[in-house]
Amino acid sequence: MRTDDPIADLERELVAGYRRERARAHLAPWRRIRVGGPALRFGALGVVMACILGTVGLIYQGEPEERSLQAADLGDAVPSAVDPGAPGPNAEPYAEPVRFRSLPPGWTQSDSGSQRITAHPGAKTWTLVTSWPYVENPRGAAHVLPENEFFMQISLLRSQFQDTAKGDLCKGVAPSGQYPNLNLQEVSFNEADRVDPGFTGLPEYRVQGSFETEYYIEIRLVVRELPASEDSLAAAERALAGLELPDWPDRC
Amino acid sequence: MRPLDQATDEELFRLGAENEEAFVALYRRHARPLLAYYARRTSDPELAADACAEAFAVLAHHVLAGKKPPRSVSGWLYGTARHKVADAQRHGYAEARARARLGIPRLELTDVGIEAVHRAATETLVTAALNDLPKAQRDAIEARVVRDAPYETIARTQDVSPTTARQRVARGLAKLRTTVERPTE
Repeated sequence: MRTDDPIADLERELVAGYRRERARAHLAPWRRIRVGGPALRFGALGVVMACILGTVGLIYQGEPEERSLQAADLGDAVPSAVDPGAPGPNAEPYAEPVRFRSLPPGWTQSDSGSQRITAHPGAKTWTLVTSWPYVENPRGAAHVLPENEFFMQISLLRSQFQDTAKGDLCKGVAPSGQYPNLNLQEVSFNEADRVDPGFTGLPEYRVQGSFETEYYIEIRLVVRELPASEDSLAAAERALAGLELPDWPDRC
Repeated sequence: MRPLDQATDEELFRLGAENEEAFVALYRRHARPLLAYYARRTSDPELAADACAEAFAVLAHHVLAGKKPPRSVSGWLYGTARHKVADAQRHGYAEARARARLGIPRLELTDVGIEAVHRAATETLVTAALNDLPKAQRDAIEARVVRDAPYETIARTQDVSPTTARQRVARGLAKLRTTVERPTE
């Protein structure tokens, strides 16, 4: 939407959005129901927390073997759960971004760093990979994307989506039709969704899926124009195959 | 009950869950300075507009969800916008999740829009700088620049010599110029 007066236009759009959201809330009144007084709610919360902690404790005892099976499914992309240097069971529940073990010369990668996992809104980490020696600048990679180059953003999310059941985001994500299990070794950008313009105003290829119930994965490959060259797509796919998927805790 | 323009941010935040006017009052109180601040800080009006829009969209969600107001609504808004700017600087675009949920489209600034943001940034800066000046200098500048009063009149009003009145205007304007031209940290 083009605007001559951003402050007034944003106010109008915000108010329209506010009305829509309020109407939705009124259509779903259960969202606003508050049961009992503060003391009762606090007591109920304590019981629920105790149940969750007990269940998490029980599940945790059998977890390492399950993790190894998941790692085998992903070939070389070994989660850090099988890494002897991985955090122990008492480590703080932080979500890690993906890291590329090796990249071609001249490429760069940067990431969001670790994020604390919470029951709500969960956690999100991201990693940015550029196929050229990108130096961070205030306007971002999209504004300095050279001809025939690309960048990829890989986001890991533990979030609630509209079609997912309400679950405990401390433990993982609920299955979602929009996020089927994804094998990164088999990603093909030729078969991916194409969006033009994407979030950056440039065209992009999008792939999304999930790693079991650990987190959702969103991949955006941003290019100068569609279709990208076969060389670029192949280079991006090779880079993904070298992706090191982190192991996220299943507790908060 | 007090009129909305006299209510505290916290009161507007609480009222906003059911009262649209309270939410609008909160927006009007903070939108311009927030946009101006980030336009100066990033030197990028579009990025500033994106970050502000997302910050207010998140605010709308919190208000409508009946959440507890933050200790400082203003501090919360600046902090949220700062995160959006930082994200945009790393990713190349500002996150628009909250706006998408409210159905708010991305604002693309025309040349006139960009000019409006620059003007807001400068005006906000000048107003703040003017308020920082000693009262005598501020009054002298207002008399000379806004009302076009001669130095003799200003001198009589302030009970000083015309030379002192001239110095107050000159020094005040020099200080304003320094503030406006200083790069944002």
